[in-house]
Amino acid sequence: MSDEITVRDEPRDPNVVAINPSVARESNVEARREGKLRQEPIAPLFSNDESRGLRTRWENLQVGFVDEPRRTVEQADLLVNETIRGLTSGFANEREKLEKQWHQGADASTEDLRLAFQRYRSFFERLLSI
Amino acid sequence: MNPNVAIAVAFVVGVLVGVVVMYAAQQERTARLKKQFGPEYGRVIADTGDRYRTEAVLEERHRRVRQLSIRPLTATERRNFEEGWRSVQARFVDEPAVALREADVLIGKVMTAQGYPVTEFEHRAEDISVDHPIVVENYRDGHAIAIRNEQGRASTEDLRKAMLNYRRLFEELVGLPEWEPAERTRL
Repeated sequence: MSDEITVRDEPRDPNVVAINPSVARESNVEARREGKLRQEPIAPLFSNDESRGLRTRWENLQVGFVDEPRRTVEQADLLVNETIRGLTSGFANEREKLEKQWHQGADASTEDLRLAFQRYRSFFERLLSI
Repeated sequence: MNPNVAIAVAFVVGVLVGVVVMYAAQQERTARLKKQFGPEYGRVIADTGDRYRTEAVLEERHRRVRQLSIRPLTATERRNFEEGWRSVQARFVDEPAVALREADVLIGKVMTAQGYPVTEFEHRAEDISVDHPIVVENYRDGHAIAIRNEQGRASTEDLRKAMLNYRRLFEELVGLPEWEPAERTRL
C-alpha cells in the first residue's frame, strides 16, 4: 500500500505490483550460473495477469476491512488458500515437464541428463526460495 | 365613541397585532432553523442554553458560509479524492491511528478544494453543519474517538468506527455513492 495520501494524478503502474519477488531472486541465482540454463528460464508460476489479478483482489479486500473485519479475514483466508492451490499445481506441472524431458527415452545422453539435472537444481532452488 | 377611547383601542389592537406578527416570525425562524440544522440545533441549544442565542449563532453561521463561494468538485478531483480515500482506508490494516489522521487530512483537502476556509476542527464542523447537518454529527463522533485515541483510550474497533464516521462525511462532501467492498461478489 502506498505511503502517501496525497491525491495522485495517475494510477499506480500495474507492472510494479505484478513483479513476483521469488522470480526476481531466481533470475539472480540463474545469472550466476552457466550458459544453457539462462536460455531456458523457467516460466513464472503465476503469469503477470494472474498475479496482478490476485494482488488486485487482495487490495480490494484490504480496503474493505474497515467495513467488515471478520468477513474480510475470512475472504483473505480463502484467497490465500486459492493462491496456495495455484502454486501447488504450478509446481506440479513444472515438475511433470521436467520429468518428461529425460524419462521418456532410455537413450538420454549424459549431456541430456546433465542439463536435466541443472534444471532440477534451478527448480529446487526456487522451491526453497519461497 | 369617545375619540380617546377609540385611540386607546386602536393602540391596543396595534400592539396585539404587532406581538402576533413578531411571534409568528419567531416561530417561523425557529422552524426554519430546526429544519435546516436538524440535530445541530439541539446541540447548540444544549451549549448556549437559550433559544434566542442559539438561533443567532446558527443564522450567523449560515450567513458566514453563504458568503464563501463553495463549489462542487470536478470529476477529476472527485476521482482523485476517491483514490486517495481508498489508500487511506487500505492503510488502516497496518496503522489504524495513522489512517484515521490521514482521513481527517483528506477531508480537510476536500473542503479546501470546495472553497471552505482552512481552519481548526470546531470551526470546520460549524461550516459543514450549514449544508450537511446530519453527517457533521458523524464528523464530531469520529473526532471524539481520535481525541480519545491520543489519550490512549481507544480500541481498534473504536478507530474503525471513527473511520466509518469520517467516511460518511467524506462521501457526502465528495458526492460518492455508498461504499461497496469490491471483493464481496468475486470470491
